[in-house]
Amino acid sequence: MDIQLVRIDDRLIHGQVVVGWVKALDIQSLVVVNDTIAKDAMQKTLMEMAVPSGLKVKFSSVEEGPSLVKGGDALRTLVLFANPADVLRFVQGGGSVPSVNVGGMHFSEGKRQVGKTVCVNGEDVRAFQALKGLGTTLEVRAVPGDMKEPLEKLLPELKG
Amino acid sequence: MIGIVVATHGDFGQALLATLKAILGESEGMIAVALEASESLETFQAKLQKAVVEVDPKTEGTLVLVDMLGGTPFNVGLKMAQAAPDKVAVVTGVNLPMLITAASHRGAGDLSDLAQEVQVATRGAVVTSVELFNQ
Repeated sequence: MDIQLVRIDDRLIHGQVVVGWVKALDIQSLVVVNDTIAKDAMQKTLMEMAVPSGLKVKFSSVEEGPSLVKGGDALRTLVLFANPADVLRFVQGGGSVPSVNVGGMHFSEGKRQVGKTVCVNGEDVRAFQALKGLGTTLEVRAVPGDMKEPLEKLLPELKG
Repeated sequence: MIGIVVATHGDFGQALLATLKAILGESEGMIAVALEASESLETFQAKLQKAVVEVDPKTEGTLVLVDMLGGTPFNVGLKMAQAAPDKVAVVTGVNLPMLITAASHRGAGDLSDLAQEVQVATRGAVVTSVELFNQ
C-alpha cells in the first residue's frame, strides 16, 4: 500500500477524515487498525456505510496490521488508529511508521487536555515516549489546513 | 407526533432551528444537538440519546437530520437507527428546505415514510439558475 498518512483519531472514520484528509491527500483507500472493530461485523458495516462511494475501506487487528499494510494494492492509503498504544504495538509488530499525525484524541474520564483536540492519559504519554524512542515523528494537526505542530510542544515530558 | 433532532458539527443545527422558527413559528418536539470539537463520541452519543427521548416521549419515532454523510453525528445516529429502525431514522444533508418539510409533514405517515418524503422533497429543492433559465 502507498501510505500517505498514519493518523491517530479516536473517532476513526468521520467528517474530518472523509471530507478533509481524503480530499487533501487524494486518498483512495482507508485502513482502520483496531482490535475491537476488526471483530465486530456490525461496526464494520456501519463504517462502510459512512464512507463516500469510490473510497475503499479495510479493517485489521493491530496484530495483523503490519502484514496487511505491507502487501496488497498500490492505492493511496490513510491508516487510522484509535490511540497511540495501538500504533506502538503496530510498530513493535513490524509496521513502519516514520511519522504519525496526532489528530483527534478526545476528552474522557482520566484524561487531561493538552491541545485543542488532544487529551491524554498516562498510557498515551508512555506510548508516545516509546514511539519517539523508536524514531517516529509525532505531529499534531486536526485538519489538513492546520500547521504541523510537534507533539513535544504540547507534551514537554516527551523532550529529552 | 414524530420528533425531530437536528444533529450537526457545531451550532449549525441551532441556527437552522432559529431560522425555522422565524418561518413557521414555534414548533414542538424539535431539538438541535451540537458536536463540539473537543467532545468524545460517548458524550455526543449520550446527548443525542437524551434529545431523542425528549422530542419523542411517546416513542412514536424520531427523525434525526444530520449535516453530513460520514460525519460523527451521522455515525452515531446510524448506530441508533440500526439498534431501533422503527424508532429512529437518519437523513443526511440537513438544510432549511429539509427541515421545513420534516416539520410540516410529520403528522401524516410513519417514520420511514417521513424519511423518504423528506429525502425526495429536499432533492427537488436544489436547483440552479442555469437550469431555470434554460427551461
